Amino acid sequence: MSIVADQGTTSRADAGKPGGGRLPGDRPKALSLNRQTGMTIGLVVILALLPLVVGDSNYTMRLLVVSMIWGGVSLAWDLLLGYAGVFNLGQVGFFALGAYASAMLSENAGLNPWWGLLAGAAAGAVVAVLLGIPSLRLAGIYVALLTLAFYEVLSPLLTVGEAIGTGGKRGISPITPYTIGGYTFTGSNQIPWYYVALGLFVVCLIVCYFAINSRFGASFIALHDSESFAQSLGISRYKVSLMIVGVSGLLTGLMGAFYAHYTAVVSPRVLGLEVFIYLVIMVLLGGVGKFPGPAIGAFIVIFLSDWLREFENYRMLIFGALVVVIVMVAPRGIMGAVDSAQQFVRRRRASPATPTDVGRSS
Amino acid sequence: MRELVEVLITGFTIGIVYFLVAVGFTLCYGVGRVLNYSYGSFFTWGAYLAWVLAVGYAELNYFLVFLIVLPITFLMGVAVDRVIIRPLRSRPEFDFSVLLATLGLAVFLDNLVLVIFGARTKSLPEFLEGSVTLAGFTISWQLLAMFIFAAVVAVILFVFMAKTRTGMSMRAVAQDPIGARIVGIPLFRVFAITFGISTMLSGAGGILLAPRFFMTPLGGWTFLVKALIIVIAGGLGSIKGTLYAGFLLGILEALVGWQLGLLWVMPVWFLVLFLVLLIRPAGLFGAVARKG
Repeated sequence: MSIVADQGTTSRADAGKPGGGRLPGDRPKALSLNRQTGMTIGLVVILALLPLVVGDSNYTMRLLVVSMIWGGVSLAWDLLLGYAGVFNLGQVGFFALGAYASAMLSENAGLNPWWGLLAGAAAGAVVAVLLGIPSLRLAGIYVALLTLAFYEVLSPLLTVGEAIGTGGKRGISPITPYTIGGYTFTGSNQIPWYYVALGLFVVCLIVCYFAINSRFGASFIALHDSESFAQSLGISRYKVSLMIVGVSGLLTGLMGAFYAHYTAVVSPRVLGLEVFIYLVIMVLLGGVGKFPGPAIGAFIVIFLSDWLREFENYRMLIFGALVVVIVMVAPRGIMGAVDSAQQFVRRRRASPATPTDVGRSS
Repeated sequence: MRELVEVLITGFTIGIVYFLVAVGFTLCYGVGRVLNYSYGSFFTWGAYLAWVLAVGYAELNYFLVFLIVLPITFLMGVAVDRVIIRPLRSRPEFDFSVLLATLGLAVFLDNLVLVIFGARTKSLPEFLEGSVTLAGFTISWQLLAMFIFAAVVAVILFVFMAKTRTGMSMRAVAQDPIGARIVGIPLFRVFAITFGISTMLSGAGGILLAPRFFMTPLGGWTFLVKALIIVIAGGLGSIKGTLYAGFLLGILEALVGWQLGLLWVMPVWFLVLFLVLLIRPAGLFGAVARKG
């Protein structure tokens, strides 16, 4: 079933090793570094220039802003899923808490919305770490169970939290928009929103990029390749995982805070299944553990979802089936397909006579 | 005082139904190493199929409803195992793939219900009306019927696991899949049967609890999470742990619902789970939290 993607990522590093195949240790480093960097810079340049082309259409701009918000979240989530191997299912929870933190501080305490970004990021990070402390000591599957329970419990919790100003079932609305030097952001002019979103998206890209291509990221590759050897070098899975959970929560909370002010409403509906499954498809479609694939997945999913809008109820039916199909047929998503194509071309160019690339340095 | 006892009886009954639902989930993991996130959807499907037979398109009695719906949910489970789970088994990242595939399947199945039956809530009538007074305490027949049915299913399950050949194969696979295969147990068939039994138990839970809670297309998620919490609190893979945790949390639900309101049930459950895991990371009766 997974022939395409499996062949594509089989390289010297994981040939014949049962645990290999998903984490970043399985690809030629220098090449992917170049591609990562190139794609990241290309993405940012395109996004920075795009308003010149579609700036007139508020509708398209809105879709792009939403894509960047979720693009940032999917990158942060993929740090956990694809790189750290932490099966966190509570990511939307961090997002909602970031949104609530910012909205509550600006509406109930009268804080300037810009500070809300910091508050949202802090809320996301703190909750992520608090959730991580008990769950990361457990085996991987327990993390998935516990974080899903956290995610499901959050919605009733925010509803009963009316006493502390969460607004109960209806949530908080309207929420004060941002202001710069006397200019207040409005829905009719998307350009300022767009560039703030782009700024935050770039923050996510940069943080994730450096988290992956640093000592930090190297320790995950080491843990993946040989856990006991990595530990003998003094790398603690628990500590490293906890740090990356904090980073991921921070970025997610940050995006949540922006989202609250952008949509001017935040309610427990953010925690609905629909949002969660969208996020799953973004990461899956882009490619788990294939930075910056998940961000690209976010753009595709948001625009695809808009395109499928007229199907209403059938849309989620389609998306549910899509998740199953991607997992079964192309588990490494679009970036995995790019990998396969690249590998195929290189193999053809190097020597057509060599039957396989196992054991050959690639 | 009297009210308290009645609340406790209700909690005890809900507890045994929760045990049934949760044990299917834990069985599926213990034997097949599958964490089935679409488990709640079979709960929903069980309830809606029962609605079709008992209210919507026919007015069969409950006995027949169970007789028809349970095999259907069993076959659905077997089909899912064949089509989705089995091809994923050769993957190195089996856990992760199954998690995502069953999540997608859950969304698909729930929205299929939504498309077919619409978003309006539905309800099943009670199995039996009226109530009985025993030693001064009033118990509704409905509750008693639920209790008896759930208890019967639980006993059948225990006997099945302990005495029949299939049940013994399942336990053998749970202990050591490779060893089981060496002695000639057909692994894939056992996996499929286990998956079918587990979805059947979920469907049975759906029918039993539908008269108590309203049915909605997305209602299964609550029960998936309830099953998750019970299973983790009891120790993943442990049937005994699931039994105690099911009763504990069922009674807690009745008490919390009585004193604070139903909205507080999930937060309190989560708090209990948190405390249990802080003291015993593998759950009340779990062995060691398995790696992988």
